[in-house]
Amino acid sequence: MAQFNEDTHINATLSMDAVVLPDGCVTDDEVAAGAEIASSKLIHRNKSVYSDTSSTTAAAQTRCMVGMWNDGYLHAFEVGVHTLMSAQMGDNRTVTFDLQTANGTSVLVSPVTIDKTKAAKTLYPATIQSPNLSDGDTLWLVVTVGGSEGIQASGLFAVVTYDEDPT
Amino acid sequence: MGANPGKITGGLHVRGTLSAYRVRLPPVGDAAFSADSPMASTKVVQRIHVHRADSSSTYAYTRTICMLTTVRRVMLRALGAWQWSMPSNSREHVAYNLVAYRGSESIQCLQQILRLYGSGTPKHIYWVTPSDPIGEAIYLDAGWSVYVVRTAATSGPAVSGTGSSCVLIADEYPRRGGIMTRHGIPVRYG
Repeated sequence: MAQFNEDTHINATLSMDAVVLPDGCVTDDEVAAGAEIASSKLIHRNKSVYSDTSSTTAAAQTRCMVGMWNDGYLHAFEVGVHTLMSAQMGDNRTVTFDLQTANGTSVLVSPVTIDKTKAAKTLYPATIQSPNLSDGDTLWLVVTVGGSEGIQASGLFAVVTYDEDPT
Repeated sequence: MGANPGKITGGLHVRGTLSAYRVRLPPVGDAAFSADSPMASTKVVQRIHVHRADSSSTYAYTRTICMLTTVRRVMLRALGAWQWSMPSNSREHVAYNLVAYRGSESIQCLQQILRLYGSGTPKHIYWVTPSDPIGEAIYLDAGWSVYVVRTAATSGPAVSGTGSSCVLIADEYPRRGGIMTRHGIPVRYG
């Protein structure tokens, strides 16, 4: 193997059959502005958002949030409400958010429950138990409500952040 | 190693910085890209997912849903649809069509409408690929809105199933372009 022990400059075009580049040497500057790197070469970050209108009282529901076109990875499940439930003494309303596969298995360590101790318009993240996703998987938002005293929260919302492999 | 002017036929290692007037690189892998200097979104083609879902307790009903509006050139890649429960009567179905509009122009984006029958599998995604009448991929310039047109069966008990869901997958290019086929041939629609 030829070896040059000092900086080397070639005053013409340098081409090669194969190259080993130092890790991390290609920064944004090295990519042409018009590169249009194909979607088939990228792992894609997606966000799926579901939101009730702000005045809609939180109610039990099951709703699909993700349909996978290829394998992927679940990064985050974050939930909240626009208007918090009432917080008088004795009030006990709750809204619980789960994220489940098509067969009803939760992908979370535990569901996230919003109660009167929480804050409105705040994202509460879940801890992901099973992050790996496969082609054809669906993920379902499952909301349950609890308590009987006080005014229930309204305007629930949920955000799923996930990656999908290229096709 | 063998060498002649301008050509090295074996390996080459430079223990310093290698620079050149121009470089032609073979394909490089992910490791070569810097994590500290992420590539600008203007340099890549972004994959878009748009989901729409009814509650699992809602029977499918006929509706038109705006899925996507284009601000740059977009290629429609796939439409998937599925349901929480399927029609109990296999003669009935829920149909999904995909149509793009811009002013008075319109594009029928599916050559075969997607129909979910009662014999189908609940929560299983059924896919169709948008294309023009000769099977070319559909590209849309800025200013288009893309609608899913869902038509549900309306007779019999629970014939439409519940929890209708769909996802539109598209690639958004970082700059504007005209409507053209994969081979760059302009196409007129509408």
